[in-house]
Amino acid sequence: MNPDAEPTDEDGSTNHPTTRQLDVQYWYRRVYALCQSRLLLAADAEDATQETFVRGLANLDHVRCDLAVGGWLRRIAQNVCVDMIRRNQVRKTSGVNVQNVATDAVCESVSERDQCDHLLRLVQELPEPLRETVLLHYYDQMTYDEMASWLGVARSTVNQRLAKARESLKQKLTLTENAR
Amino acid sequence: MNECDDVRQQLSALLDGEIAEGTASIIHRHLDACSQCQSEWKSLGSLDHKLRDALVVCDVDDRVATIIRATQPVVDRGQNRLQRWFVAVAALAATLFVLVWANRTTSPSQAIHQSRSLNQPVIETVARLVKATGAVQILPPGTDQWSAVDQSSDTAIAKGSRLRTDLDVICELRTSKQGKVRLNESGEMVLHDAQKVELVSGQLWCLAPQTTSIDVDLPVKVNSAVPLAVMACPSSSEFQCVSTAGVRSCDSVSPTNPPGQLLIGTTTYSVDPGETVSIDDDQNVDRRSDPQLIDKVWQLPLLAIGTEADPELVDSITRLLAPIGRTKAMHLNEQQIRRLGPHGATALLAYVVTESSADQLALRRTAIHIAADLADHRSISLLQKLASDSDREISRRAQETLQRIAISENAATSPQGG
Repeated sequence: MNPDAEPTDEDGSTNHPTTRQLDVQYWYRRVYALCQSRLLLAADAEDATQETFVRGLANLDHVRCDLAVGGWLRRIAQNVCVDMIRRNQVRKTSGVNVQNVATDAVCESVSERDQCDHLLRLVQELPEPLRETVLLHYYDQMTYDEMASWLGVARSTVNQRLAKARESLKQKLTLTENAR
Repeated sequence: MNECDDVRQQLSALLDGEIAEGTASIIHRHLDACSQCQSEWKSLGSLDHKLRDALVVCDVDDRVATIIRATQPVVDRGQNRLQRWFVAVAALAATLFVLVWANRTTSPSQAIHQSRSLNQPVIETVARLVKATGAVQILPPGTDQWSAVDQSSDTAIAKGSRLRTDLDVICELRTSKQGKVRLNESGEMVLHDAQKVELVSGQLWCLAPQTTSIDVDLPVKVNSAVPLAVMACPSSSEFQCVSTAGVRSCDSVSPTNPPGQLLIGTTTYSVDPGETVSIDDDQNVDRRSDPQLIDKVWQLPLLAIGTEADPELVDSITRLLAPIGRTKAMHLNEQQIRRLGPHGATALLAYVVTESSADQLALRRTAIHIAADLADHRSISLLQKLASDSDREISRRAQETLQRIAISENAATSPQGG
């Protein structure tokens, strides 16, 4: 979980409807992970995340209770991604431009950069549920329980998805390293 | 399933510290004893390390700050309204206090009662003027004096205000519900609400926000009565309406629009994407479907204002320029752009400056070719940037155009016969 966030309850929102606020910092990484798992490119994901919060902040008073903020924000993000894909504003293709995907990576040397790019490409090739779980885990350092709550699945499902994703990535990395 | 399989299934959770302490120590003991599982554990750790390096979201603070800034005006508006209300109430209270003090015949309790009964009008802001290519006139509700809208900042437009544009002036408003409305030159409209606009004359484009629809009222005269036609633009849709002498029309501009509805009296006409429905004073309805003929070119000078990287400008010009020269019909695009004159040149040059990808080179050259004929002194700064463009043809055309502008300006300023 983001250590900088200081939400007043576990859903990152205040408890009183009259003073309800949305802690953008608290939710940012997980919304970004969702958007990137759908849209692939970092730039598109950033746009979609921004759009999600703009819509969310404009309609915050429509949330029935603070505990529903996570699910509500997730629905907005999903709708934003669907809208972007439908309007052909995003380049959702199999031939992902890795330069765009890897803009946030911290790899420094050329060989490290190549390795990062390759790894990101492999992450993008994962099935969408596995991809989102991996992005969520590494972007936001959430616990399995927190991820289960955000994703709306069981804790065991989170465990299985992460294990499966890592196994798949490990195998593909070994294959490509052997081929070099 | 043997012990190794069982252990390997739990390595991922062990790595994340999601295994109970007792189970974790059992797994660690197995790893110490089994070289194959130990190897799996190390390779999983190595992968985890690589993923931690690769999957990072940088500059979250900056991104969050951008979002907060983007939504700030909405909050400020609310606060400003509140502040104005408090100021108005305080002023009213002060005035009443002075009156009461001066005239002791009224008791304090009566004064309070009076202050509550006074009906102070509250002006509701329904939109803001975001940008314009020239002076925009406003007639606030309850007044009969037109005045120029102050464009030094995002100016609030009160509910019921009437706006009009002169020749060569196009303006854009953002409604308090985050919709967009653009009024073409020589147009007039009334802002009844953030969701209701009346087009009195001219041409109007609107983009309804994600959350609400926008209704555009159009005056349709039938048998000397003046019933209103209403174009209902659904949320997240883009429509364009025209009101000229005798004819009103509505275009569904975007191919992704949901169907809109044009209501006239009790009759409803569906307006599908790419379709134009028009109606004359005799209520003859004409329907045509040709997305290529829907003319959004008039908005280009407005898009060229402000940032040169306006994605809508780049997108519009790319779509306009792409078919030029390929078919006779598409030659219309070039004619439409040329009709904009120097304003069109500014938009085209802003596009050439902004669009730098190599695969758009042909379109950039087409754009500067057209702009070179139209540009005047207003485009000098853009042309100066392009004079050093990496593409020789573009830089040559920019330099030639700068020379042409300089010569014509010199000719205009030098004394006759000199």
